[in-house]
Amino acid sequence: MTGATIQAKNGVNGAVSAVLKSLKDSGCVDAVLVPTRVKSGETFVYLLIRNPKMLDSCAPLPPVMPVQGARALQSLTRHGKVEQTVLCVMRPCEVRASIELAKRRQVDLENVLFMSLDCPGALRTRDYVNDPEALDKRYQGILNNWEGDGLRPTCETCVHFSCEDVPVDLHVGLVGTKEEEAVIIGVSKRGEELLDKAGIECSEDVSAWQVEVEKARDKKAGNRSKVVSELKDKAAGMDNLGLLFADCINCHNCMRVCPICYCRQCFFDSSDQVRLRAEDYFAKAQARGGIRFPGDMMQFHLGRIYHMGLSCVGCGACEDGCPMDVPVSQVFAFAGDEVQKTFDYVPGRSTDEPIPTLTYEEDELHEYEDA
Amino acid sequence: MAKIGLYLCECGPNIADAIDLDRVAAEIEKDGKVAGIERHKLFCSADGKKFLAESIKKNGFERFVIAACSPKQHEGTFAEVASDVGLNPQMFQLVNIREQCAWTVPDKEQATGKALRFIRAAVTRVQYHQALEQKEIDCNPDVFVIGGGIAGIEVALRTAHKGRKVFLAEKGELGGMLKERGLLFPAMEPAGDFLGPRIDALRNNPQIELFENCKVKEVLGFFGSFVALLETQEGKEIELKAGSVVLATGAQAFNPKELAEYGYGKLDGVYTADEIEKRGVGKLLTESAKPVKSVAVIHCVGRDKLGYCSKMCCVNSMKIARQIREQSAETEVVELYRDLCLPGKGYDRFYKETEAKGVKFARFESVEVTGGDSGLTVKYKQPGGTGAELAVDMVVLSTGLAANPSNPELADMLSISVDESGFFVEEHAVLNPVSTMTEGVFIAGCARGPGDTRDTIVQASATAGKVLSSLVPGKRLQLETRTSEVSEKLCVGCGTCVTVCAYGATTLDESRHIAVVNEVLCRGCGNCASACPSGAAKHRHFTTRQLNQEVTEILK
Amino acid sequence: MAENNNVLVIGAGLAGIEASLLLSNAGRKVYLVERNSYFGGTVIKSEEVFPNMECATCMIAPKQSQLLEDKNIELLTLTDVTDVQGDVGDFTVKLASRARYVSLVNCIGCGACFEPCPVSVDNEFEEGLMKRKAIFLACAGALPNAPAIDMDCCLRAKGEDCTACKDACMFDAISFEEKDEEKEIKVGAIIVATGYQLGDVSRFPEYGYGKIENVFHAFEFERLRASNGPTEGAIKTRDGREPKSIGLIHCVGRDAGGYCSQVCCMYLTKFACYAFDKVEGVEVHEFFQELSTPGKAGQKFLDEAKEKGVKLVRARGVELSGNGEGVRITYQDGKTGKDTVDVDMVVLAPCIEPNSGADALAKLLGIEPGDFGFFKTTEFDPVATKRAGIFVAGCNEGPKSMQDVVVQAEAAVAAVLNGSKADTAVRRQDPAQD
Repeated sequence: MTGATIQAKNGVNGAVSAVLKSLKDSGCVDAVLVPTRVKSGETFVYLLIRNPKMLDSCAPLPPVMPVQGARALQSLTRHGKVEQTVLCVMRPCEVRASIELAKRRQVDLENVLFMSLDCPGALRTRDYVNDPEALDKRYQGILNNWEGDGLRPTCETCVHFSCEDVPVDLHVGLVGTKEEEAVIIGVSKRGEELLDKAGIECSEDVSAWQVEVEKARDKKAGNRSKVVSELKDKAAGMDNLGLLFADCINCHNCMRVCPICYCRQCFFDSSDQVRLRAEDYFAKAQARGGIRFPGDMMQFHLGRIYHMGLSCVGCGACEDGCPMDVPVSQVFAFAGDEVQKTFDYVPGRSTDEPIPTLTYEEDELHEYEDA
Repeated sequence: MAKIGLYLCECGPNIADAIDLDRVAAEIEKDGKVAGIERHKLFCSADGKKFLAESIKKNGFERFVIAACSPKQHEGTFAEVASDVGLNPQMFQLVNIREQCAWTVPDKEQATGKALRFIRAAVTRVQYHQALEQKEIDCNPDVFVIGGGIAGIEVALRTAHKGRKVFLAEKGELGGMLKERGLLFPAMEPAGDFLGPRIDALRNNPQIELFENCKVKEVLGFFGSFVALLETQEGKEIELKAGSVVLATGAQAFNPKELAEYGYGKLDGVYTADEIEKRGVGKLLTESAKPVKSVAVIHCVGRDKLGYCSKMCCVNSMKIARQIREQSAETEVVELYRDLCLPGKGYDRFYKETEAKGVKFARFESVEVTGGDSGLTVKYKQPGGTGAELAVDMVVLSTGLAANPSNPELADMLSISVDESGFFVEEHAVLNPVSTMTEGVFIAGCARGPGDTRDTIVQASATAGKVLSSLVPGKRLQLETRTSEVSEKLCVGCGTCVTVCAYGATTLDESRHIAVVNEVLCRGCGNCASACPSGAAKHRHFTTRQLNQEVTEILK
Repeated sequence: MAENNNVLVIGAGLAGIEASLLLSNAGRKVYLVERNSYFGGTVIKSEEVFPNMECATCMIAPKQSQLLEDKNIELLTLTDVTDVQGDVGDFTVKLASRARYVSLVNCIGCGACFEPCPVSVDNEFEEGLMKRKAIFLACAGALPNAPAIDMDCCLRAKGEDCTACKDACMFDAISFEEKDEEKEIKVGAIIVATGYQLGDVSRFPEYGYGKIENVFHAFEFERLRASNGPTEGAIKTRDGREPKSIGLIHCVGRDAGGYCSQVCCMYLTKFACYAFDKVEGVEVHEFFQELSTPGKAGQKFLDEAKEKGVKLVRARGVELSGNGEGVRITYQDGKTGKDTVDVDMVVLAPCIEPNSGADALAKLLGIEPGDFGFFKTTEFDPVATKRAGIFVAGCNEGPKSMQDVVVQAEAAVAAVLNGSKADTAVRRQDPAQD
């Protein structure tokens, strides 16, 4: 693998925005979908940018992820393919979520290109809005040292922070690069062509960066297995699981911000959702001594795990959006790991890999027969 | 609340002895959810059915629950009673307290408890039953046949009728593989004598429309109402409407060029069986530069590559060997075979007759053909491993049958599958061998697998049997009532239901970006409803509400 | 005169069932005549069928239930055809039904009558591997789900006044007064689907069947594997041992008969799979002459069995002899000469023959018996007999696989529905028609 060093004197954002501009100028990209700081300065949103000047103020790697990029891309391509070429600049988990949505026909990837960056993780949005300046500084420190306090727990255990198993066209490597430097790599054939057209020559060896990525991944993998094994005990059995979700207030925010939850209306918000008659609730309360209201809290979370576990990319949006600090994302990561392992499935790796529950394998039938 | 009646069947002593029906009746009555409870010795008997009908009418029940045996046995019986008394046949629930309680739970107390739970669940469920309409549609009895080989011709001749038109499309000329064949085994009649009159009959039949040199561009629709788009050589498009589609695309001879050991295409004097037939055995023998004194016929050419035995080649090659011996008595013919495949009542005799004509047979394990100045050498390994050699003037390669390469494209068009060899897959390999997973799409002849002419004809007739019995002119098609539907409001068009539907009944409406269910094709399996994450797809007789209420009641 | 649209189907095996259902779907009234007290033919003897090893009864039972519920189809069990007069479109058929002594309307198939019956005789359906009573159901799950009384062995036929079964019946379903009946029906066409039987292997002394204890024929082995059979699916020798090795002999009677029965290579391979499934570590040897696995699924099926470890031996001149409790197989291997293998159990694959009575039936119907006693059809119209309006389907026309049986039944339906009209134009010119 080869790449090109890009100067990052004005930080990662400055370096990447320069690349984006030259890509736009070369004419092979019609528009860029990229996070940008809102005027108030307190948060970031996705902008679909056509005017190259506006790229000056973009923030390709913001400290927080208030909007999951896959959701932004979904809004753009929900009704089918776009006619103009769009380059989406996203974190790896956002790219992977986009791929999962594409498998469900909620995103159309035609004429869509992806650029990702090595992602150290994101800070909690609620922390950030309280003191943007201080947290910007803290994030800069994390970027420099590739560690630091305040990262969301999910991000601490993320092994897909670089471009391996992420189907991007372009990637910006940050781990272990010299200060004020980054590497840009054309990952796909199209990515190589883009850089070529933009006049960025990619002939440098990037193996040093790759080694650093490996190291960082090992560390995160270690974190992950530790967290998962702790959670295994904490989440075992209905009672324990109930404790984990005890603080839930049924606001369904986790579902609304989840990039994979794609239903027009959640079953648990629909009129089909079965609610018992009062007398039945009384009977239940009689049997158990008392029951909690609204009643479908556990069912809602289990339903989401059942529907989304296979495709969960561990972006942490659910937990970030939770007003009660329920560890939703960690439970998902734990359940997701298990079920993804069962089907040998890595969500978001490739659009060519069908969702396992929608494929039929004859062998599986025999397994079932013999059982 | 609707007026619900409960009927308890004693099934002679079968239920009455194993379950305390008095207690069941008393407890259900206490629940206060049913308007009346009646018992009978045997509800499925003539007397029982009469009693049931009269009781429903007399009490004015709007719905009823009957606790008796397995729905597999008598659901139809009681649905008929419901219809007879003017209720919608969905307005009852049959509870299986015989197989699932009386016969399987030895303890009477426990069996009674289990039966009670089931009955309570049914009483709750039946309140949520919805009347479903028995729909019927007109259907088009016409047949669209793809392929003008012997399979397609036979289907056309056997289905063209008063009141039924047949459209037959052939991408080239009529006659298929048979038009280049010399004689037909085992009768040893000229293939032309067989084919000619059939093609004449086809052309003279006013109910049959032929589209030669036409390509099938598209087939849309479903059982009873397909629309096909053809394209002529000149690029003109023709639209056809038919109720069923028959795939009779045939097969093609395996091409031995890719197998170096036979020297085919490189060595003079190596022919495939098809080439011999096309050129004519007599002609080849007389027009050869030097006299053909010896011929080796090699069996199973391509078998390992194809992965199956093509069935017709053993006998076909014997036919050629016999012809050679008949036309030139001094020509030695040796058949090199691996296993003789002579299935059925006629072929052992054919083999013996062939041997009697002086054709020699030798078994081989592997074989190689090489050339030299003096002629061809066939080296082969005999069973046990010893080598042997034959010097011959001509080699005939008995090739197997390969699937028609256009099958996958057609399969895609009609939402059916092809197997790993490229043949169309049957709805059920044993029980429904000329039907496919798409209702109204049939397969006949070598399109579904290798076989001989006789197999092709009988399969074509079978297809005709299926068409004639399912699409009767003037008869309306009764649809499944317990089907699925998709809520336009809830559907986001993710296509999950489309993937899990085995009958091609759910499709995506691209313009509205939602899924739609074709009620003609839906068989009510419920796969879509269980796979849909938002509940947009639902089964009309197994709604979430019905199931939830039923299960909640059971688990109480 | 208006053509009669009713159809008579003789034989309610796989072919007869398929033909009847399709004809009914086309709106035809069907008389389906079956000589046994149950229907389903030989298929229901099998546990699983090749090539997909699906459960046979599970496949057939839904079709049987559908047939029993079909109001267009009148199933007449214990019935024989005794006379056929008339011509295509207007046949008059005489039927003779033997008394069942059990009312199909009243009986619910609870089986309470079996226990008290004092008679015990060999169960023919189980190939004599188990006993039955005088009032009996051929096997568990047999349909219609009502027993019949075999008056050949019932004590009442011997003048005793036994009423044990009647006393046990709670539904008043048993009547000793029931009489044999004759009836006359009018039909426009007839489909003959009388099936096959296995050739009598005791004709061939070299196999020692009936003398060597653990030599079985194919139907016996099917019943051993059947979960509703005498051993509930356990493969066992006659003395109740689990066999450590099994020999499967192909082509029994092929040379004498003069034809290949087409399906034995496949079903013996299925037997090998049965053995591997049920008996851990069993050795299976197949002794074949020519391995014939025609069609797209055959080779794959054989390869799967090879993977499971079946040993395939090309052999001529197979002879069996007793060897203690086991069997010694002596054969010529074509390479080194004579060889022997000792096994615990041998299964013979006899040739497939037309069912007994086929000759008489052919005479009665005025159709020709052909080669080897199978009904003769036109070479390239394999359901048509020389008598217009009478068609054949299934193994009475020649040995064939289940798939081919269904295909031929469907083809016979086409011939009936097509009437004698559209097809005759072609048939008249058919050079193969003699």
